[in-house]
Amino acid sequence: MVRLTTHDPRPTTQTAQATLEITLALISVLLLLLGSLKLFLWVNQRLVQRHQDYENSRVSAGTSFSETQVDETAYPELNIFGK
Amino acid sequence: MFYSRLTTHDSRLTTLTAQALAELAIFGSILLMLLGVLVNYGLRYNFQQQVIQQAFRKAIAHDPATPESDTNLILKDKYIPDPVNHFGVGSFVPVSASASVTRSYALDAGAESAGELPKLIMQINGQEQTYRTAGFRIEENIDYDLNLIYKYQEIYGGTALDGCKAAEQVCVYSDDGVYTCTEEASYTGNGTCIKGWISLLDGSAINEDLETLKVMTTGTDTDGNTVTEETPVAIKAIRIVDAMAGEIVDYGGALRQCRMITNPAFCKQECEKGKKYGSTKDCNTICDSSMQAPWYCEEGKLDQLFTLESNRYKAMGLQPDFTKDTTISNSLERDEDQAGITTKEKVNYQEATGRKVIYHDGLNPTTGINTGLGNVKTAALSSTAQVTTCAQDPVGCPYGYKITYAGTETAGEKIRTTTW
Repeated sequence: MVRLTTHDPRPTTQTAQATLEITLALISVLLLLLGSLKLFLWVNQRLVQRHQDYENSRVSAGTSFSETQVDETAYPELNIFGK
Repeated sequence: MFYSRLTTHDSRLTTLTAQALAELAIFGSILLMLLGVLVNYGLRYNFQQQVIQQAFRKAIAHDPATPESDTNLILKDKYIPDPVNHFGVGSFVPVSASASVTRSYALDAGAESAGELPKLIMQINGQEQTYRTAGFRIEENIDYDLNLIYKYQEIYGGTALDGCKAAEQVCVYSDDGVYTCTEEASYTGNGTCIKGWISLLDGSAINEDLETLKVMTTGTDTDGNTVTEETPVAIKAIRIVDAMAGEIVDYGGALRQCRMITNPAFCKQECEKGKKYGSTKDCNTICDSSMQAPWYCEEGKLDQLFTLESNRYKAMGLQPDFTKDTTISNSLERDEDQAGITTKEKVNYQEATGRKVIYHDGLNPTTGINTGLGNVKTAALSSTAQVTTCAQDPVGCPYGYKITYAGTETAGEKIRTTTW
């Protein structure tokens, strides 16, 4: 952030204001980015796990069809702040 | 570094406060939008993978003993939340996949009964509908000729043809030397052939079949002795598994087929195109054979099949256009008392999707035989999906909103309700 305050008569009041603001802003931005990363990992994990289960149930699928042959209830839930 | 701001001569410092927060508000909304894109893509890929797998599994789970070739289409309207909306209310996106399985050992197998005809099985938001994509069409009084059979093969495909051979004849020599034969009908209608249908897969097979299945003529000579003679077999009727005789007909396919039948020059051109390297097939002789034209090749019949008002794409089956009726209602309650102010906001989002399936009902469902032009009909499919905020019901509503899908057929029967 570039701020020019060359003629500012009260420089002390401005000291670290931008730093404080950017600190708050960066925390929010980082939270959003980390949340997005978590979401991205969750999405990919489900894609991989579903395909793995799909391959594992290949033989049995040749004789019967069930909507729940790939059981997704055991898949991890989206947890942004946890592990 | 977000952006620069020049305030060199500004003495009103208050205008400068919260600049970074203002920047965050601007860039934060962009980040939220990016998050929305990520959610959208992520869920879309997940749903897509899910329906692709389900469609293929549904196709492969058919009984391997029956030589069916079914196509399974699954279409689901899936909900994708939008992080930009303060309640996360998003929209419903259609995801679809189709799959069909033909087993390698059944490549040369043809349908022999109505149940074995190829089908299109559509599952749309849980509602399942089945349509046959081919039907039997029977042509009688065939003048058997190998080149004519080759022409039938060229047009309809080898596995789609069965022949009904002539029935046994009983002949008697009378005392005055007159030889009279009683000929039984070989094809008795409704798909019944007295001697059984024989496959007309290829020329050599036809000749072999005809050789082993000669008509036995039994007679009695003047001395009273029984005389049995073999006479050449004749094909009295042909049963065709015709893709244009099904409940869902392809316009382009029907047009091409009719041109092949009625226009020898076009038949030769297509025959030459489809020739394998080194083939000795004589397209001129094959295509010059005269054959019966099916009912849909008669003047104006194809237009009648594809002139339904809404059928502007000249396509049967699930129509590419659909209607969406979206309703969003917001309500805000505000209570003020001594304890403070309480506000309660609710959002209800509802989307009703209407789709149409156009089909032809000229097929007898029991015998699978098509005898001519029937009625072109429309089957309506409707499904309603709803997103409701339910802050008062956290148990059944862990995410702060619940989604219900309800599909109803025209009769009003409730098909499926899912709560997520």
